[in-house]
Amino acid sequence: MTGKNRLLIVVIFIFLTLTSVGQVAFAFNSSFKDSIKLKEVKVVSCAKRFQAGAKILYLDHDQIAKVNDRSIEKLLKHFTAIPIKSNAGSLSTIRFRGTSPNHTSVNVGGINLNSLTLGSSNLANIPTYFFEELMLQYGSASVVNGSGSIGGSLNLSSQLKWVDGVSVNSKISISSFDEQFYGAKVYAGNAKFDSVTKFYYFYKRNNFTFLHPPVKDFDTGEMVRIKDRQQNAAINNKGVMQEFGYRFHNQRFWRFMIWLEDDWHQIQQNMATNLKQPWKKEELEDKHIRIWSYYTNKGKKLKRYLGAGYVFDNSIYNNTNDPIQTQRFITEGNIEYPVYKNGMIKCGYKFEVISPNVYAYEINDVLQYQTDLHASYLHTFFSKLKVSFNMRKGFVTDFTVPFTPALGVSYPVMLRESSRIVLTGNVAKSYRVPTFNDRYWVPGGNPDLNPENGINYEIGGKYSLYKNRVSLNVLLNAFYMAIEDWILWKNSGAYWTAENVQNVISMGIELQTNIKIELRRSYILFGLNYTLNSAERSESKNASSAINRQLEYVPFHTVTLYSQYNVNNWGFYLDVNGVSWQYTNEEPYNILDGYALVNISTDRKFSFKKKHNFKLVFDVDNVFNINYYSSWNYAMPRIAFRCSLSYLLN
Amino acid sequence: MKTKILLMLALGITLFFQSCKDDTTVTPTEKGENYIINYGSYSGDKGSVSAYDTEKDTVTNKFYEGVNGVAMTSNPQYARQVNDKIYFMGNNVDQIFWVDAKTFEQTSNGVTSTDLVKPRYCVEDGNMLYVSCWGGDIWTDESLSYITKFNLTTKKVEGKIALPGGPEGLAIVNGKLYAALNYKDSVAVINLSDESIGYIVTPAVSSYFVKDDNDNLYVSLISTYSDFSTKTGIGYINTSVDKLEKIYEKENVSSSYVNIMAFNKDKSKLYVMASAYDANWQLIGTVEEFDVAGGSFAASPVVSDILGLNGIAIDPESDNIICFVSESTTASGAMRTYSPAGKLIKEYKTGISPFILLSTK
Repeated sequence: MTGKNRLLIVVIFIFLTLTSVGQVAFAFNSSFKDSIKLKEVKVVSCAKRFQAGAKILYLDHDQIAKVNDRSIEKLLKHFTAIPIKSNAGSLSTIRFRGTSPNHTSVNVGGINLNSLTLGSSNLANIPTYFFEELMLQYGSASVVNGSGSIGGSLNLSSQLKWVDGVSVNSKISISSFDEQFYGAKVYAGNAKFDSVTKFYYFYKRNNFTFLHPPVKDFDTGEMVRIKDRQQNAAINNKGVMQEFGYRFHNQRFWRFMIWLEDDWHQIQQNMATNLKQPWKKEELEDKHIRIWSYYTNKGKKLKRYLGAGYVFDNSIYNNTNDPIQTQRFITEGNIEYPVYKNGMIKCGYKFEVISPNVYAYEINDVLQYQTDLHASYLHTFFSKLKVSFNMRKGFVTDFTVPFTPALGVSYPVMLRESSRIVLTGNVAKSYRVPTFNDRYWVPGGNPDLNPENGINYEIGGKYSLYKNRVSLNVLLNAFYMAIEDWILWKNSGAYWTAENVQNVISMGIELQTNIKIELRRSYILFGLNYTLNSAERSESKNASSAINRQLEYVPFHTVTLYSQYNVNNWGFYLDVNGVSWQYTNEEPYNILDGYALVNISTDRKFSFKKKHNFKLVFDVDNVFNINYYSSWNYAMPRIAFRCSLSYLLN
Repeated sequence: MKTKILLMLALGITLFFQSCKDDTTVTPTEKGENYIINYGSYSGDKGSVSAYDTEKDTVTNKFYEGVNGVAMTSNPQYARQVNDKIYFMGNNVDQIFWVDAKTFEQTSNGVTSTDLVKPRYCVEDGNMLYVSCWGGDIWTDESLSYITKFNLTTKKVEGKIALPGGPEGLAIVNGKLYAALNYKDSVAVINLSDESIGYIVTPAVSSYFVKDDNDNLYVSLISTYSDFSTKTGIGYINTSVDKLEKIYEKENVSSSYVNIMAFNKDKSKLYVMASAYDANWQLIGTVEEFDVAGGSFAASPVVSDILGLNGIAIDPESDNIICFVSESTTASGAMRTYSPAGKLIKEYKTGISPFILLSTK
């Protein structure tokens, strides 16, 4: 990138950041008075409100805290039935509703974390520790998140505590295979102004033992089962996040976040290479600077939101000097206003200026512009029936982006004091603009690609009950998704090139249930998540024998079971997650077996002078020491033990 | 009791998930003498071999696996018959492994070494197999590469000859090892008696050789991203004086690491894998015909518009042109046979990424 482009981005960023925070300076001096604890207005909840009928679930602070010394992959495996393809800890990609990893956007504030070059996020590099809430939107979410949200979206958010004083939260854990995690969060403020400093350090030598599939010793002619130890698969991730918040009034906030992340890992070698070339090492380092700031005022009839941010992504393969870097400046804003008696309208924009610097591009000196305009309308009929209509239109440099509408309804067919049934329906279009690599890689990038586009139909129902200290939730959804112009890289005969190759039909059923039974001094919680997903290639420009057959690395069945028993200060947990067999290529061989892993844990809380609070946790993952594989030819760890200690200073 | 319950629960769930498995195996029923080498996928499926029986006009896939009972553990970058063995240059695992040329049985474990990193191609001289190796990430450090010496009797790596520039294809003539350098505009000439290295300067980087009846070499001259050149085609090296005597220019000669050049039976024609723009201005695979006696390329390709062209060969019996096709690294490829006039005769299904025909006849 040229210095001129960098300067332009920085200038625009500074200008809009100052614009969004200008009102902070105005009221800063006279505001350190109140200390009323309020629940913060969240941007994500707004997204849900205008998407009637869309399937949106939340994982809350308690659920996240349980696994916050690990990556978001563990969180999703623990509490959802979303398929994830991974190796032994350094690479993890999501397969939401049968789609590919770059069909799911991962968002923090207005920043889509997905790589602009590859199009997807490595879930192993997203620390759960920095976040207190995860919003999962199942199915098409492009109308809210823009490009890339064909299969779904993950929206991570952190919360300010608005403490009056100082609060410290820290965690240390050690685990098998030389795993160490150290994290701390320091909250300081006066209930009007809040500062949160978070950092974490994660290291894992990852030298677990595993069993090879039967291997032939050609010297003796015998088939042998070799027990081996994984070499050169270490992971070292670390990050710092600083947040500031200022509360003008109850629903008028300004927030600022800067997040520095450095993720290094050795690229795990396949099992045969690990056995025969144990000295082989390769490594990859991803460095990120992410800044996001926003101002919101929800306290008036005209609700306003304005955000701006900057992102620098830098990927370094094997300590080479070939740059793989992108810089982005982002700004977005919206307004909401009530219309008619029961209606609400919302309009907004998102604008990004992108400057790539990738060794294989010829457009490194050219700024790329992406603009999205969107509008939403929500109307409530008869005080019950909610209908929402959304539309979004994007404009991208040298690229035509499709118009994206969505229509949704939700209706409570039963509303009683202790129970309710809500039926939902939603139809939404979605799209994905090809990645920079798809368009500009030399050779093979194809600037004439069509955007991938999809349409998602969804119906569902939720039954909720709270009676006699028993709460029950049952959520059942069925979906049908058609994706056209799915982009793959194919061999043209001269070189590999990106093309719109295939169409895919994905459909399925998702069940989420949980029941909580409160006893005198304890409670019991059970949960079951199950996904039945048929995802098939309906057409392909490639000669494929896998037409109308399940896609690779998409299991038919995915299930998680979790249970919890809490009594006094003790907690006991058991969870099971499993997937059925999976194809790994377009042929009827090299099929991964299904597996189910059982994990258990127990924790004990104790406090000292009611101010110093501790929680000691002991986990056992893969209790039955099952040898399993998530990617063809790559080993996964067997039984692992973990001990962690959390400390909270109030 | 709790342990038993947990165990039964885990077993039950595991059985449930495994009960749906659609397992398919392929068992070869015949042995062939022409073998199609399938590279597979570097990060996924490993390589395989298909047997091409020209008499029965059939291709039997998973031949190596059928004979040896297990799949390959490497992606073969090249295979060569030396006496009664076929040697494979395996990648990821980086190893040399070999099978009996008649039975295709592998009876010894492959050989790995820190002096055998990313092996590419090989050629034999007496008791020694010379193997070109990238030595690591050659695209970031051109000094990493070397020639590994592998003793065919002891089956051990016996050292290496440092050779910067990314040696790819190899040929031996009169005690000299010629190495096509893929990251330097030269062909290296190594005197095997004292391992001294000389260079023949070329107008582009090179990839592979074919040898004519006079032991002179045709070398492919290609343009790559890291070393762009407008002067591509084939060069003719007179090995008695080690000089690039002629350059026959041809645009878009393939830079793929597959078999890109093949003589017909009487060596009157040399077929070269290249590409040309189609109606949509997309580069698509072609086979160009070079008239050896006339020293010129035909005006138009003998075979054109082959999406996924991944190597060429000549049927040793019929003299038909063979094109290997691989559009992706997750699906089976194909072998297509064409008449010398370029007419499609038949297509056969192969393993993933076919790229070499190895004839042991």
